[in-house]
Amino acid sequence: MEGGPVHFCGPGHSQMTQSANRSLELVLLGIFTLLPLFLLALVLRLDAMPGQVLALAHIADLDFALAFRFDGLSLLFAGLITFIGFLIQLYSLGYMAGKPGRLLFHLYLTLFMLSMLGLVMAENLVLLFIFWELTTLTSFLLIGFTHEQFVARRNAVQAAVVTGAGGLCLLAAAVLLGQMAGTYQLSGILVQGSALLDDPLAVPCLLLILLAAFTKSAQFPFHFWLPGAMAAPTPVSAYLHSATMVKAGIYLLARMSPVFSEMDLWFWSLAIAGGVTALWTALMALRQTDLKLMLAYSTNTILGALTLLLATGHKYAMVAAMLLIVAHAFYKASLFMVIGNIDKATGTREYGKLAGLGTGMVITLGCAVIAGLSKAGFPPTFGFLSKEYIYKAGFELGWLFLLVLFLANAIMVCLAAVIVHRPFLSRANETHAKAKPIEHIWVLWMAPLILAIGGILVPFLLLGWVEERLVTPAFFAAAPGMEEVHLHLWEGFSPALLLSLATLATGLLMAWVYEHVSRGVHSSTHRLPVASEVYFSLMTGIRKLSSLITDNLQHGRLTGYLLTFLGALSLMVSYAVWSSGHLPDFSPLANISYVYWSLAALLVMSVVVVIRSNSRLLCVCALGIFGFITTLMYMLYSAPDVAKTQLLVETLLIVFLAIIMRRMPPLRSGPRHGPGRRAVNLAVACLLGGSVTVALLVVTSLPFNSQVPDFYAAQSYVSAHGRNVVNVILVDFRAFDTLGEALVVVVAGLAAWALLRTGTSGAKK
Amino acid sequence: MNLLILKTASHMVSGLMLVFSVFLLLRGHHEAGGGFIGALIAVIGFGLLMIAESPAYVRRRLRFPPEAIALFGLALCLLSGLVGPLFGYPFLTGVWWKDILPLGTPLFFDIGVYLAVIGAVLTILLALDEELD
Repeated sequence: MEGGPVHFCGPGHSQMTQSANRSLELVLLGIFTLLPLFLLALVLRLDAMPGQVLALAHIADLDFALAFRFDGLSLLFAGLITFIGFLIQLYSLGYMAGKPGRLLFHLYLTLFMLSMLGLVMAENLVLLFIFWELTTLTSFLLIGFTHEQFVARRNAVQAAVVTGAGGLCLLAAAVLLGQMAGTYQLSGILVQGSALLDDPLAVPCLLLILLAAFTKSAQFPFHFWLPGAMAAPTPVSAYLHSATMVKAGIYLLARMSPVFSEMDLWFWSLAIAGGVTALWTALMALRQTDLKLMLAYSTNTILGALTLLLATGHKYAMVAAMLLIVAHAFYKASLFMVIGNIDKATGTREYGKLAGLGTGMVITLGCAVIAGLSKAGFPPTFGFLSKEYIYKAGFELGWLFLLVLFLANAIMVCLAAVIVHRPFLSRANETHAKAKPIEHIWVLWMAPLILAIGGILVPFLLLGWVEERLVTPAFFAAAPGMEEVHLHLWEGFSPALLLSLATLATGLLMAWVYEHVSRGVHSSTHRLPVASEVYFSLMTGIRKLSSLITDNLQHGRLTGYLLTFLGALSLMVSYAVWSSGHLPDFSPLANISYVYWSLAALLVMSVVVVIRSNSRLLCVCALGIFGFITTLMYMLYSAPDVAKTQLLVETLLIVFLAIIMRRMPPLRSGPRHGPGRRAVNLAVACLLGGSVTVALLVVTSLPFNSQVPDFYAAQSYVSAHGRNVVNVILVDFRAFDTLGEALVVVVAGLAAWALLRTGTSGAKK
Repeated sequence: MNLLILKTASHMVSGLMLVFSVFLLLRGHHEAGGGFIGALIAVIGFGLLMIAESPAYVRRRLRFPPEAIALFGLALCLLSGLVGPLFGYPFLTGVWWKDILPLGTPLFFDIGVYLAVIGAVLTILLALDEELD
């Protein structure tokens, strides 16, 4: 990865270029920061237009279109991506100030944001896949940004491998879906809806889509890459794990929900994966001592809950999912930035080393409290709103759903309380880390504060706007034809509200005895296999397998290479003859005149001499005789061009051998193969010779289709102005093949040249 | 090796071989011959000189590095193929201009093959000989 620091103010520059570079840097940073704001303004101006697309280019033959769609779901995600993207860019201005490669960092963030935007707005399945892979690539750059550290490199590769494997599944799913629907345009696919499920390809297609979505959205058992991605700088975590990267899988599920949601497989796989992810990662979050990892695992929990909600296709569940996507983006990005500020002020994120920061970081404390309230779901925050609808859905769906959602939410409350209380409000002593003042850098608190306050004010003041512009259009895009749900922040005393209060009470109780809970979870789960360790042993296994194959095939012994290659060739020829179903016709052998028989006998004799002789010179001579007799055969069968070429190649071979022979050790001086190996050699040689002979006999006994040679012979002079048909074929009729062959010859020459030259320079050193 | 007869004879023989190779290249379109066969003859001629004199001698008389000759030949093949598209035909279509001489892009294509093969094989041969010395 080229993540080298960009030194715009390198040493040795004059004062003037330094100030010029400084202003260039400022202009670029300004562009990177304001671009998402500009895009957000564009998104906000758009009305959701289901079914309408903006087609920029269209390749009809491939059914590929550079086209974008603007329905509610796309706009909801696009709004979040650009809004949070702007705040993250703003925050990074402060967070990355003075660090090497900060321009590169902003550039990567921008590229990632554009890939995400393309992903959620793509109208064509292939385009969706391309943007999906682009998010994998750009997130690799972001996660591995501090690539001097081993952990960052390893975890960036891990995220890229897991989500990249999912990307391949998405490609296969896109092809299957395109085959099923007869079009690659999403609008064409979504119109057909569940009618597509009659196709036998529906089940494999759904499985592939699920694999893609589960890897991207870090569902169990692929959840481990998300906490690993915490090796990235905090703004990256705040962006990737609140509104973007991990939500791409959720977007894909919501997008495909109109097609697949009536399948039982859809319900069960989503419900099980989501439920297991939510519960397991919530427990894992309780075990962590690093505040950022706590947040990472709680992101996993939210993703599990979202998958669980999407499984049902129930109207309240869909609305709750849309609300949770927005609410989570607000408070999680804000909390990540709060942790980033703690890290920047104290240099640590360890739970045990932090206390009493509230006095020095008042505004950060405020952000943490407000965002924490939203995470915990206190009224009247966005988190409360989404939780109300989650419980409403839960009451409709059954007690098991309700139990899973209740437990996950209670642990969220506990985590929120711990993250706010312990670092900020508890009493500090001399064992705790000292904090530097950082709040004079206004962007560091401005970005989280906007998000935190937004999480309270938006549901309070703009609920109608949220319902009309964000949630309802997205809801109809994911669940067309369903009854509309109206949002209310306060619905009187309902079972959902009572359950909310019970959640709060349970969560706070858990936070009260957090040390015990954490230790208890740790001692009961630390013996279980950890998914990332399974992943690493899998990777080690792949490496071992590949080195095993390499060691056995690329051993550097020429005789071994020849045996492998000729053995494979003889097997392939034998299989081709056997599978053709034709028996060889030996009758032409009776008509061969004695001249050919005697030539063949000479051939065999020269080969015997090559095998048995102890002198290299004799070997070369016998080989030459072999070649010249072959040439003679061509002449007798009236193929002068082939004969001439063969003659010249034989001569050239002699020239090569003459040059090499001066330096070769005496023949038979090296170790010889044992009897077993020589038997294998003999068997391969006999098999190859026999199979080629039989193949030739089969081919020549088949009726000869003279259409092609007749065409060449007839057209050679008329349209190609040449009487030598062989040459006309080479330079005109099949010139493209000749061009390829010339390329091969030149590349082989250059490769041999490079190999020999490195040998020389190495020897001279 | 200092063999007077071999040296003297190889200069004459290899000169003749080079002329003959060009002859084969040019007559190839109508009679037996062509770029590939011509190139092999030329390479054998150079190989003879290499044995009689030295690789350095052949390099000097060649004037251009053999790698460059190979790449130039390949480029000539490509360019002769690109003439077709200029006149609205597909890539590598033969375009002829027979007003004075029977000239056509297949001839240039064949010359390209001739140079590519000479360059590539000589590259290997010279590098091999120099490596062994």
